[in-house]
Amino acid sequence: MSHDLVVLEDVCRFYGEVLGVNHINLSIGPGITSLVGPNGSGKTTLLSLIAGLIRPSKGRISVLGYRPDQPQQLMRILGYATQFDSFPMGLTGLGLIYSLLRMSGYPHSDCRKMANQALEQVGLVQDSHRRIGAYSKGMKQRLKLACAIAHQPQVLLLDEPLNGLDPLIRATIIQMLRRLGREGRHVIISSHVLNEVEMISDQVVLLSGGYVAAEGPIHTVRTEIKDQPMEFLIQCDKPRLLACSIFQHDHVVEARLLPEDQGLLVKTRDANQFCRTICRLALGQVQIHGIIPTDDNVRSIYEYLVGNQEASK
Amino acid sequence: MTGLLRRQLWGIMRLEIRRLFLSRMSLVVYLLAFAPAILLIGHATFETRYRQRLRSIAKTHKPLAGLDQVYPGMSMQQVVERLGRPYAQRFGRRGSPTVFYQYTDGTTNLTVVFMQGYVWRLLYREPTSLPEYLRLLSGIFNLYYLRLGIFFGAVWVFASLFRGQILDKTIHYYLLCPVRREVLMAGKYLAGLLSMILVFDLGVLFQWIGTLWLFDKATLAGYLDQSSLRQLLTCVAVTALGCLGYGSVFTAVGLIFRNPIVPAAAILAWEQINPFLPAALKPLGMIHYLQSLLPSSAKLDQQIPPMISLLIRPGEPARPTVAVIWIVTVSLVLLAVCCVLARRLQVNYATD
Amino acid sequence: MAVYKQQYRPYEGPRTSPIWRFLVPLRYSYAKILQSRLLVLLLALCMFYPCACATIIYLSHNSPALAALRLRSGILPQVDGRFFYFFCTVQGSLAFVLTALIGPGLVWPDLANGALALYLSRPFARLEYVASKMTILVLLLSTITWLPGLVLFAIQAGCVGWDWAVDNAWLAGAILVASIVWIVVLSLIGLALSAWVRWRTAAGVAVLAVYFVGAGLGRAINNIWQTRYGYLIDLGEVMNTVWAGLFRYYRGPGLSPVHAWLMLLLVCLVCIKALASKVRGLEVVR
Ligand SMILES: Nc1ncnc2c1ncn2[C@@H]1O[C@H](COP(=O)(O)OP(=O)(O)OP(=O)(O)O)[C@@H](O)[C@H]1O
Ligand SMILES: [Mg+2]
Repeated sequence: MSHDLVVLEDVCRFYGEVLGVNHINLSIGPGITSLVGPNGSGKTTLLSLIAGLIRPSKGRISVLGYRPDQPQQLMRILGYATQFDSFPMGLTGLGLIYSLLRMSGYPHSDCRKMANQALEQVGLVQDSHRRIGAYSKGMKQRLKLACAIAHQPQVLLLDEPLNGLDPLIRATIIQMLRRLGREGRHVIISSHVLNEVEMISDQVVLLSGGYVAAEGPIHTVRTEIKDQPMEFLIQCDKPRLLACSIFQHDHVVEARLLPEDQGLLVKTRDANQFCRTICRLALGQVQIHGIIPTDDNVRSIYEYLVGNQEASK
Repeated sequence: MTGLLRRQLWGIMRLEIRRLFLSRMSLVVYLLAFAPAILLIGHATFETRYRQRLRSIAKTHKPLAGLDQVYPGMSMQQVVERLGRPYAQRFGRRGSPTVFYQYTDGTTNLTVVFMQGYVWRLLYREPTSLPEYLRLLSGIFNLYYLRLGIFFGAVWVFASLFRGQILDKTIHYYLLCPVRREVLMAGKYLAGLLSMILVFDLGVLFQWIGTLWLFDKATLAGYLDQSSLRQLLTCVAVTALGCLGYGSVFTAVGLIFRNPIVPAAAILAWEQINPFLPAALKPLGMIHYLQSLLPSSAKLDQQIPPMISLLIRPGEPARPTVAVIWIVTVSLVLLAVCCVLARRLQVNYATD
Repeated sequence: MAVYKQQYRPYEGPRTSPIWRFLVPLRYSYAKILQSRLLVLLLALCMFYPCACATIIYLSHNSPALAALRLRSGILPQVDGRFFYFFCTVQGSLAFVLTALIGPGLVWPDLANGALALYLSRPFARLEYVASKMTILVLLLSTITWLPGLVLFAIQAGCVGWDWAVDNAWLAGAILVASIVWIVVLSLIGLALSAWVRWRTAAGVAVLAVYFVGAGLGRAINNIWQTRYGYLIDLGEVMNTVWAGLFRYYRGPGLSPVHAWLMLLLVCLVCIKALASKVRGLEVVR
């Protein structure tokens, strides 16, 4: 077993008749990994499986070499902010984190310090002495995050961490996550907010209907989707001319002129050949200012992979 | 025990004690534990006042003869000749021909009821003696404290150790700590157990204090021999054992059943009908063993209908060592089961 | 071709009358309740004693059947106040068990999951919410208390004749009042505890505890103070006193019926207070 990877081998989990996740094979390295998928695709299930809150029906999981059924070792290096908005009754924010750290076995003075640090990171120091019951949704969300990072874990599982946060806080949290990723921690985030996913994550895992639909860095994922034409935006001085000449080639399936000289949108089946063609044309009479891949992002991948499946259902 | 383990245990216990015994819901446990003590202390206060009053009345209205010198059938005049004027006099309701005369010699109070001028009834109210109080105490302990107070206290506290948190969707905070599930179990159980024992043993002590407070040193010295001291110690020990036993039972119930009310009701019914069970079935339960540890199986109510008392089979009590060993063993077995269940516990907060 | 301007059009169809709107949540509750096998079994068990009573009534008016069974005619109990008093105690205890099972699950899930806010965001007041929850219990308990009671009364009347029914009409009234009072008290207690007890596991236990601990403490009070007022906190005793009064049956010394009625009133008021303070869309936390 590898000691710096989160490894899932053929993991299945059923809720009675209902499929949670099925045949998941993943190894997740350091950095920020995003789990993306529609509602009910098994993101939460996957995270809970990694954290050992639920057991797989089949398959094996190892988190940096630890098994999820050994919480005494695993939880030392793992923090999990769950999707549940419930908290133990009658505690204050500080009290909760402090108590959880005490439960983990840290001595009193360390607990105080670590709890305050965590609260500071999520910007909750001011409200740390209020009862949790009186917190707003965003504050609860941040408190969960603080609970997860308080013991400075190597592996951080965050279930929709940006839900309900205001833009300023969102930016700080994203910054914090980025820092954690850069420090070489394993940050696994489940999220629906695709442009944020794209902004922060090094890798994506696309889940759909309990299966992994795609996995890896975003652009490698894109190039591996062969059956779907890729889309480029070409900015040049003579878009009409370019359109005429580019249509001669077999691999081009669509070319569309954008209004007001914004450029030419080309769909191609073969990116390599397309590049060669463009090079040749650029040496000719057309002056090309830029080529931008327009669908090299999570949203389009999501649409291709998940949208197809939804449509075929 | 390593330092880490100790710190973790204490960490769990302080959170649990806070949750279970310092919240508003814990008032119920305190009520269960201290209600008899409050009653007894209240009674003692009332009783001391009353005795003082009788004593001061006896100084001014001393009866001329002993209070046992009047008999039913005497006329009002004869009574007054014998005992003197009463210190208080009352008439029956709405012109009924009854008259009440009150006499006291400082300790006993006598109410003479006249019907149409003749003594109809003599009501003596004598101060309750210490042995009688001790019997009352053991009756309360046996029939209320053990069977209802500790039982419901244990259900309240232990059944919600795990199930309460699962229903609240908060158990995952505990499961996400780097603590063995067994340690978590032990911490939760110990927190419940220690606090229960503390609260309910304090309840027992207060009951005794409330009672003994009534008597002066001389009386106490006469009666508080080894046997009554042993009665107190037994009560304290049986309370602790009861908490231990019922605690483990309901910890398991809370882990196994989604809705603990059904098994709790079933166990309650089983323990309550224990006296009526045939001798072979009696040992299957906690109450039989707890009761056989008590010195006397005193009855609080003498007026049990004959039909029911026929049904009650005394059955011989278990020997104390057997009883203790049984309770402890059953608890340990149940706790082991709980550990296994806690290890298997999964958190998806399914359709509760 | 006509072009219509798109605009908002509210629903204009028929609506449930506001008076009966509280009945809407009922059907889902019953569906859920009757899913539990244990509960259906218990409901079936609750019908056992009424059936036995019906058999007794039938037999006592059928001398050939009695003779066939070799029973003397005096051995069967008379159908009078005492008979129905015992009927009420038996069915009343079963009603209590049912309440302990069902009652606690009625309110707290709504409070815990924020469903109350959903109800109250409709034209549905707190009072209607409580009424609908209470109706669940009231209807269910009715089927095991006064309904079979009145059926028994009708059987007896059918066997003996119209004159008996007229002479004993008070019995029918007593069955109705006795059952309904107990049902109302029970359902109020069940709902109030369900709303008040914040530990989810404890609500059901609390219903049991109110009954049994009350009885135990009542005994203790009686013995310590040498009175009978301890019975006031013994719910079973209070109710039995009320029933005994209604059925003109003498149970021996105990509470006075007036005190018992007052106690019931007090219990109901406390429960209503608890419900009023807890059944809210939002709870303010310090
Ligand atoms: N406790 C449960 N009992 C039964 N089925 C469940 C349970 N939890 C999840 N499921 C099912 O498992 C599947 C995956 O659910 P999961 O919660 O992992 O989805 P998700 O990707 O986290 O969705 P979302 O984006 O809405 O959070 C769903 O079909 C869901 O219905
Ligand atoms: Mg989810």
